[in-house]
This record gives sequence, structure tokens and C-alpha cells, in this order.
Amino acid sequence: MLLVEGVDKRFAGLTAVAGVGFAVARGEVVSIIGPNGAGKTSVFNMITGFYAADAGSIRFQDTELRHLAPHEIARLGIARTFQNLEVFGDMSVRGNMEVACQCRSPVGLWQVLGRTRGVCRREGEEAARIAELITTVGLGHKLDLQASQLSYGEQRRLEIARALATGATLLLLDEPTAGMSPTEVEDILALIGLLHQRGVTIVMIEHNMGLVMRVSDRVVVLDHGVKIAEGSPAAIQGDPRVREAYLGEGME
Amino acid sequence: MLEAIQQIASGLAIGSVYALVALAFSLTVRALNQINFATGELFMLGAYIGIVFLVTVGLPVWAAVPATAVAVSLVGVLFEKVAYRPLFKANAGHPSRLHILIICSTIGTSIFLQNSAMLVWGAQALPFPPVFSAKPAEMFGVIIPEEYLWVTGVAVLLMVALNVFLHGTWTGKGLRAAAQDREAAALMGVNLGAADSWTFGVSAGVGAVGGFLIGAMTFAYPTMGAAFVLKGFTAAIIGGLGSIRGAIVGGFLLGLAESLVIAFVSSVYKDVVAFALLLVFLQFRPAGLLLKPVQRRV
Amino acid sequence: MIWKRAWPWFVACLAALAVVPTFGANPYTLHVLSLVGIYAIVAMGLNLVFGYAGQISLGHAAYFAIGAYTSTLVTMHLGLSFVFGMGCAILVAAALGALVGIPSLKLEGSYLAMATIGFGEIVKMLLVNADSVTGGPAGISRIPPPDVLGWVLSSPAQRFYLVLVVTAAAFVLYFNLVRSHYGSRFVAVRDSAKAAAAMGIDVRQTKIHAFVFSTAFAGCAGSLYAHVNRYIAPDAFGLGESINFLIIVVVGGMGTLLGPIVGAAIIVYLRETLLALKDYNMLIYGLMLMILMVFMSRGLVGTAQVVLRRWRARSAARRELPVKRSAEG
Ligand SMILES: Nc1ncnc2c1ncn2[C@@H]1O[C@H](COP(=O)(O)OP(=O)(O)O)[C@@H](O)[C@H]1O
Ligand SMILES: [Mg+2]
Repeated sequence: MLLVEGVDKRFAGLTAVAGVGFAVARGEVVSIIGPNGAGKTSVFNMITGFYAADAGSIRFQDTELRHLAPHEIARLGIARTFQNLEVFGDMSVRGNMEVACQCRSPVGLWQVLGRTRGVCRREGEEAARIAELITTVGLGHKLDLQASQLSYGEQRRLEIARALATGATLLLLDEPTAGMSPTEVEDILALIGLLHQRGVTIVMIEHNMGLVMRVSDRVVVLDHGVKIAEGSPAAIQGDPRVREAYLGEGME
Repeated sequence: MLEAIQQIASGLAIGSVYALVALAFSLTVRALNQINFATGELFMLGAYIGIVFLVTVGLPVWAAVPATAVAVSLVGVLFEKVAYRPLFKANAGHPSRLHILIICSTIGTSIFLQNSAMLVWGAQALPFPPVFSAKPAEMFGVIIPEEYLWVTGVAVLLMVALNVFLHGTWTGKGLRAAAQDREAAALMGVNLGAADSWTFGVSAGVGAVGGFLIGAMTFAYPTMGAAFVLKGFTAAIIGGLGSIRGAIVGGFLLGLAESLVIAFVSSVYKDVVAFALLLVFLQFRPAGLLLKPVQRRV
Repeated sequence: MIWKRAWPWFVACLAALAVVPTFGANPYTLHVLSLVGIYAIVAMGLNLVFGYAGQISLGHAAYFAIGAYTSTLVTMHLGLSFVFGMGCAILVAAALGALVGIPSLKLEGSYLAMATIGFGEIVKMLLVNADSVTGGPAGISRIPPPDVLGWVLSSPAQRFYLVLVVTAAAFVLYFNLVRSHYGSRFVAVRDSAKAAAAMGIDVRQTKIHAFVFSTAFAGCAGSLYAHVNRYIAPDAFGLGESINFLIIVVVGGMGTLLGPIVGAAIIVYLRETLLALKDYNMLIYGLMLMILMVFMSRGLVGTAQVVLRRWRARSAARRELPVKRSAEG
């Protein structure tokens, strides 16, 4: 479904990502792990078009993404969350979801201005979908609150719901449990399980090894911009190079 | 040819004033990423307060220039404290919103100051007492009005002083640290509130000296800020908004460009030059000549 | 769906305004009310750009001017009807909006503000200097009153009705846009351009849409202004006027539905009454803007909303409290 091959990213002398490649099949949950500054987020930014890759190729269902803009990539069906929260804070939770609903088939400006029957019908359908998705992430009773009033964990869940509302088939989650309490992590774990059942493909950057080991089909390990290992969670856990990368940096 | 050299001398003199206005802009942009739209009016106040010190108080020129700078600095600090500081506090988490509020608030300040000046000193232009002798000086066989040399000299002196202040004093070093990374500076013990006040004060003082110098060559009038603000901003953009060196380079370049257009094309197009340069730079190189365009972090 | 709750209010307001002339309002009041409508149209458009999409423009007086001059020239020199003139005004203003907006909207914040000021000044310079067409600094007087389908609207009351109808139509479009799901994208672009792009929104195109929409509105309002005021001159279309438009949006409440209308009513009223304080009125303006930013940056409508929401939350809490107590007991 997603095929990343030999991508590089350099920032003024610093090589953030060098020759990273991996593949993701439909329905898989793949985790990317690695110490801070390993280049994980940069890989996401290249897949979603926020950074231009300096070399390599990124293909999604046989479409080359390298020269597409972020919104074009999103419309193909790749949605993401951000490591640092990016909810639309001045908008209601509902508003956040409304934005996402029109991702893959936007309505025309003229129809909106004239408020045609088609627009009304679509908004009815979207409202129903929003209600369903927001209940899935457990924010059903907060639809009309302003997004910035939500707690940190709730904002993270809103971001996930918003990403789902785009109708994406591939979901990229950047540290979905960062800064969360153990019970909140359990919620996220359950949510990922549910999405997995529904057939959403997930690539996730995550530091919580317990979570990674439980949900991942496969794990990719980055260190200093290079892929140092890839395999099943069990294999990764036993890999000495991975240990070294982590112990060297003194991570969890 | 001689005429062209004369034009260049006048271009350098005007350019040095543009550079001061550009510096005034860049100081606040560098520190807070905010433009002070009242910069032009602080410039205008420099001219009027200059007259007050020269005529009403009767100070000699060498004392009137610093006195003006300090007085207008205090006005700058006052506005920072009553009008902008509360906005920073109330909208700390919303940079885009803060930006719009600061633009509106500084526009309000600018309208307020301009109309206050009109009420206090009248809408007509107010003549300066003779400050710099208009006697022509001869340099390299070319006759140049002496005031051009004075204006350029004072402006350059101020730039040097600013540089010494920013690099040689503790306060200046604190300002530079805060401009680079506010959080780190705060950890190092820089008082951010005081740093912001200093920034607005220094910016206002620098602009005010520019107004004093222009006033001394022409007059003081309430809308003179509006006339110079776009020039100063253009100069700042040419060099790179937020860069000290850029402001100086941009100011002199704009002054020279204008004087060359007057010398070789026509004085009618003098003002068009600044507009055109502004639009061209904004479109094609908004980071200016001296700053590097950067990739945004995501 | 969005109209279900709104339309009774909308109709009631229109009806209330429609009976104003029959209650013997004098021509001056009707003229002032017409100006409120005209400014409200500009402000609705500007609110989309500035309040919703978060893009500053300090050059909207230029599009207002372009609408006014286009409509005037089309009716006076080509002898065409007002309706056609207004159509031309809208199209020309929108086209220029696109021409300026497409390159400029990649700029942000202060840079964009300066670029729009630059454009505004250029248009004003053109109006002053192209005197063979625009009448130069003296402007154009004796502009024909508006005519609709051959019917000349010569009385202030008739012109008031024209403005009312056009403002209502503009409001319907504006309402449809900002209250639709589609409209959420404008705020999204302001709040987080990154997240908006990740939601499939073409950020630049969205800003351009907002900008062109607003310049079309400004052009339409300019056309009304020319034929209602029947005199136009460059002085009315400078930076001061652009700032005035901005103040209307800010005072009413940026990014609120009704802000532009409330703001227009207040500012036009203030302008007429402050006229008596001639020398002080701009001073008061500036001061007001500063004070508003500090104490009421959400504007009147925005502040009212916040107060209302708090009040509702408190009364809801009060209603819940006894229930909880009985549950505990
Ligand atoms: N926009 C940028 N400009 C400069 N350096 C960057 C930028 N984005 C990321 N980097 C650098 O690239 C490296 C990898 O960063 P990142 O991909 O965020 O790592 P991770 O997500 O694995 O913690 C870091 O050294 C970081 O400082
Ligand atoms: Mg990261």
C-alpha cells in the first residue's frame, strides 16, 4: 500500500534521514521507533509532503508522492496527526471534524454559496458521521466545546478522530500517547485495536514499548536517520543493535 | 556628472534616515516578530520634540538630539506597557491572533499620535530653527550642502552607538539573547518584560533621531511619519526584515536608488521606486538580501 | 439546516427595517442607514478574510473605490443601467482581487499588511493622476441615482430599499458560506495551516477564495456607495478608509457572524456624531482601537457570545446541582 524507498533528507549540513525504506501492506499496523532526533517525524513529513525528500521515492497505491503538496496527498487518503498538537483551537470540536469531512470530495464553492439541496444532504450525512466517529474516540459529549478547552489527552484523541473523518485509508500517528497517563494510554490502545479491526492501515511513531509490542505487526527502527532494524516486535526486542541504540541514548 | 555626485550625496543622507526607520522596524521584529505600525509616528514625534528642545527649552544641537531620543523612547515604552504588553499576556498561546491584535493596536497608536500632534502643533508644517549650516561644503571638487554630511554623520554615529550597545553592554547582550531564544534567555536570567520595554524604547529612540534629522533638513508636519514609514519598511525588507545589518544596507541602497532615479530619470518617479522595490522584494525575496530563506519546522 | 433557526430572525429584521421609511424617518436618517448597509457589505467580506481566515488587508478601500469608479464610469459614459454597472463593479473588483491576491497571499502578517497598503496607495495615486477619466482629486459629482429595470430610484427611501435588498442578498451568501461545513476551512487555515493542509485543504487557494470573495463584496458596496452618495473623490478611498473597514470588523467582532453588521452600525453612527468633534474624532478613533484591543479584542458580538455562554453554563450548573445533591443524599 505504501512503499518508501531510499529517502534522504538533509537540513543545512545535517543529514536527518538517509536512505530509509520500508513497505506497509493494507491492514497492517507498523510502528517506527528510535531515539529522539532519529528522523522519525521527518519521514512522516516527507510522506505527507510537508518536507520535500532529497532523494528516493515514496509511492502510495502506485502514485508517486514525492512532488505532491500536502493537501493533494491528504486527498489521496493519507491522514496524519502531529507530534505537537495541531487541533484548530478556536473552533468547536464539531468544527474540527467538519473541516476533515470534506477532505476527499470537497463540495464546490458555488453550490455552497447557493446552498443547494445537495449541500444540505451532504452536511446531514457528515453530521451523522461526525457524531459516530467522535463517539468512537469517547468525546461524544464534548462536540460543542471549543477544542482548546479539551484536556491534552482529549485533544490527541480529537486529532485521531479528525484524521479518520478525512476518510483516509492510511493513518500516520506521530507519538499518539506522548504525555498521557496510563489509563489514557489504554484508551489509545483500544482505539488502535478498533481501527485495526475496521481495516484502517496504521503507521505509528511511538516511544511506549509496551504499546508497540502489543499492537504492531511489524516494527521499523531508526537511529541517526538510518534504518537499523526491521521485523516482528519479538525479533526487534531481541536485536542487539536496537538495544545499543536505545541504551546508548539512555531511553526508557 | 557633478550633479550625479551631488545626488548621490543627498541619496546617502536620505538613505541614512531610511536606515534609521528601518532599524526601528527591525528591532521589534527581531525581538518579538511584531511590526510596530506606529514607528512612523514616533519618527514624527522626533521632529516635533526636537523643535521643543531646540526652541522652547533652548538646548544646543548636541544635547537636543539625545534628549529627543530619550523623550521619544519613553513614549515608546509607555505604549508598550499600556497597549501592547496586555495583549502579549492575554494571547500568549495564539500567535496568529496576537499578530492581528498587535497590528490593530499599533495602527490605533499611530492614528492617535498623528492626530494628537495635529492638535498640539497644528496641521501646518512647523519650520525647524537652523540647525546644520546650509553652507555648501566642498569635497573632492564637488559642492555638497553641509547638512547632508551632518545628517549622514549623526545617523552613522547612532548606528555605531547601537552596535556598541547591543554587543558591548549587559543590557544589549540580554536583548540579543532574548531576540534569539526567549525561553533560553529567561533561563539565563534575562528579564523578558524589561527586555521588551527596552526593545520598544530603543526602537522609538532610533526612529525619533531619524525624524529629528529629516525635520532639520525640511520641517516637522503631522503626516511625515506616514510619508516615511513605507520607505523605512521597504528599506528593512530590502536588507532583510529583522536584521540590523540588513536595515542599514537596505536604507542606504534605497536612498541611493531614489537619488539615481532622480538624477537619471525624473524626480516624478522618486516615490514609485520605493513602491516598486517593496512589491518586487515582497514577491520574489521577502527574506531580503542578507537573510537566508529558511525551511519551516513541521 | 443552518437556516432552520436563523430564518425567522432574518425575516423579522428585514421586516422591521422595511417599515422604517413609512414611519416618517427623515431623508438624513435613511441616508445614514443606507451607509450602514453599504459598510456592512464591505465588512462581511473583510470579516471572511480577516476574522475567519486570519489574513490582514489594509487595502480594501482600493476595491471599494474600484467598484465605485467602475460603476460610475459604466453608467455615466456608456449610458448603461445601474444594475449592469454594479455587475461590472463586482467583476472588476473580483478580478483585481484575484490579480493581487494570487501573488500576495503567500505573504503573512505584517508583510501582507504592507503589500496591501502598497496596492491601496497605488490605486489612490492612479485615481488622483488619471484625471481625464477619474476627474482627478476633485472626483466625480452628479452621479445618476440608481435605476432598476428602468425604474429610477430618486428618493432616499427608495435608495434605502435598494441598499436593504442588496445587503440582505449579500448576507445570505455570506451566511451560506461561513455557516456551512465548507466555511469551517477558513478558520482552519487561520488556526493551523499545517493541520489544514493535512486535512486536504489547499491553504493558498482557500485564502485566495476568501480574498476574492471579499473584494467582490467591496466592489458591490462601492457601486452602491457611488450611486447613493452621488459623489465620489479619491480622498474617500485612502488608507484611512481601509483602516476604517478594519475597525468596523474589529469593533463588531472578528470572526463572528453578526460582527460586521453591528460594527458597521456603530462606526457609521459614531462617525456621524463624532463629526461634531471634528478635530478630535480621529484621535478618539485611534484611542478606541487601542482600548478595544486590550479590553474587548473579541469585539461587541464576540464578547456578548462569551458572556452568554458563561451565563448559560452557570445556569445549567445551578440546575444540575440539586439533582446531584439528591443523588448523594
Ligand atoms: N525543519 C527543520 N530544520 C532543521 N532541522 C530539522 C528540521 N526538522 C527536523 N530537523 C532535524 O532533523 C533531525 C530529525 O528530527 P525528527 O525527524 O523530528 O526526529 P524524531 O521525530 O525522530 O525525534 C533532528 O536533528 C532535527 O533537529
Ligand atoms: Mg518526532
